[in-house]
Amino acid sequence: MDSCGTAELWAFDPSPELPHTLFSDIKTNPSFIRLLEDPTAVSSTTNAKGKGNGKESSNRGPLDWLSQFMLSLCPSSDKAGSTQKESGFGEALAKVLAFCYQDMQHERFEQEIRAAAATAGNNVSILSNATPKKLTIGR
Amino acid sequence: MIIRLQERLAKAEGALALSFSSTLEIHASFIATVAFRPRNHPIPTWSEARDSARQLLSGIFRLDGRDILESMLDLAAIANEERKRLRLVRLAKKGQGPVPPSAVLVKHLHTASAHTQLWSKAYNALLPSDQAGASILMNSVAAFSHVEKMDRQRSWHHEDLLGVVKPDDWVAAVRAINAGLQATRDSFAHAVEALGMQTTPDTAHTLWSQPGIPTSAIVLLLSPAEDVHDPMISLIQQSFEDVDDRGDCFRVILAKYPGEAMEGLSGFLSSFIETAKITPESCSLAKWLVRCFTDVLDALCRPSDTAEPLLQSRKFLESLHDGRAMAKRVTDLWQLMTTSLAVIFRRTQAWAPMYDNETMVDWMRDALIFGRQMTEHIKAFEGAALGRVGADFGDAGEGSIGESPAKSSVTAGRLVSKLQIVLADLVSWLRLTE
Repeated sequence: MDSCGTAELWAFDPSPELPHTLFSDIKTNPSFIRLLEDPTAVSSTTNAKGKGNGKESSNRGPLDWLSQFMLSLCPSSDKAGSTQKESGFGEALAKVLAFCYQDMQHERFEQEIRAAAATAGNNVSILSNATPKKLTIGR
Repeated sequence: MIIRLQERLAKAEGALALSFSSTLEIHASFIATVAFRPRNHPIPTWSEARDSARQLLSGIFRLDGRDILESMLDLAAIANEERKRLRLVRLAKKGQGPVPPSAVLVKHLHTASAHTQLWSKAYNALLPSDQAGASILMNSVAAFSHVEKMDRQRSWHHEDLLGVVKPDDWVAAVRAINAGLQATRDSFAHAVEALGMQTTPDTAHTLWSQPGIPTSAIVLLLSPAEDVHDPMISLIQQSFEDVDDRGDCFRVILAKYPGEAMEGLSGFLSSFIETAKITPESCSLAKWLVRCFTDVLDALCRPSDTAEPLLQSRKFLESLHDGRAMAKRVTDLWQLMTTSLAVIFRRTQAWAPMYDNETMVDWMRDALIFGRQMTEHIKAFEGAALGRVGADFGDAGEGSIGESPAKSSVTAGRLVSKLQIVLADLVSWLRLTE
């Protein structure tokens, strides 16, 4: 995902169900689940410059890709098939947030990964909370 | 990345925003608990989650406030324009006036939708000792605290607007605004009172240093809604010594947080002007404004038992906030006060049919008192606008910054000409009441 532009990520198959079905597959994948259940999954690693930076690094873990994933689904009205993309985005968002705020809050997960999942969900929500309307009255 | 996503999403249609909103509402309890209940989610493990949850709530609440405000302004604009058009139609029937434009039906009337679950769970989860958390709610509510509940039987009726709106659309839009106001404000008083009970002059400093709080406090004091301004008065009384009444509230915030308080006053007046120019009526908003601003003028221009008038205080005049000099803020405030008063006098004619004469005369008297106070204090404002401190305003004496008499008269001239706008409207109002 880091290597190719996010908008083109889905060019090979623009069907709106693909993102959220793919997401469902990932989250039920046994290896992924094992990764999440590992108590060392979320750790305070240092960043590239070798300085400990809590805010930047404490979220290094198996959920960091979620924001990029949502960005890649973002519909833009100047592209064809934008309505399909909208429904794809909506579905995927619902699944991602249910995953972060519910599934990942199960007791069997460590506090650290539960907190990281909540943070990931919040970050996805913050990104999605775009200004929906133009001002109709000059302010 | 955030900017790219927001730009692209801004083009997406309402359906998407709606599905996002309903998804978020499902998880309201969890988000609110993460944000406001440290026992359930202890730091440091949950610090980042808590901070991001607060950031999310701030953003959502800000957008909800804008949604409600803009929806109200939209309805006001539609009603205002159509009634103007109808007046032209009536004139045209008598063979007078220009050809009126034909009615254009509003195809899609937006209905506001606040995240009622998020607000409700947030208010429930908030602890009385959480000053930063309470600040999120106070800052959010302040942004639209001048919006009043809409009465569909009186000022916000739609019977004469059927040429441009469908009745069901209008009713739904008004109901949505009122529902939004209820969801966002009903628990406000309780939250602020609970906060106040834990606040003493010793502990208050942390609360009042929260970003935006002094500015929001001023705006909240100016809200016509009793369940918004009353708890704020109590909170300020708990926070500072020797605060007895509403006037003391304005004085203490202006004295301790001059720049922020002036920003709150100017911001409120701008909102008032934008609103009152077009709403079917804004009597209670205007009534509360003129009463509060007599307090504000007292604080700025008259001494208290223990201190000089703020417009003569060096500390006040030299304070800098957000890169804006106090002299400029004083001039801006004067302009906004005169414009607000002009709007009140100009709109009274349109508002009068909603109220009985006695009520109208009553509060117009308050408006006139405010106007008269402004003329009394014009010299004080002129001095402050020129950055003079404690000088005899008759001449460029000690404490002045060496400005020329010419500059002084230009400033005075500017201030006076603003007041002339008001006087013209006052004259037409006086004719109305004869």
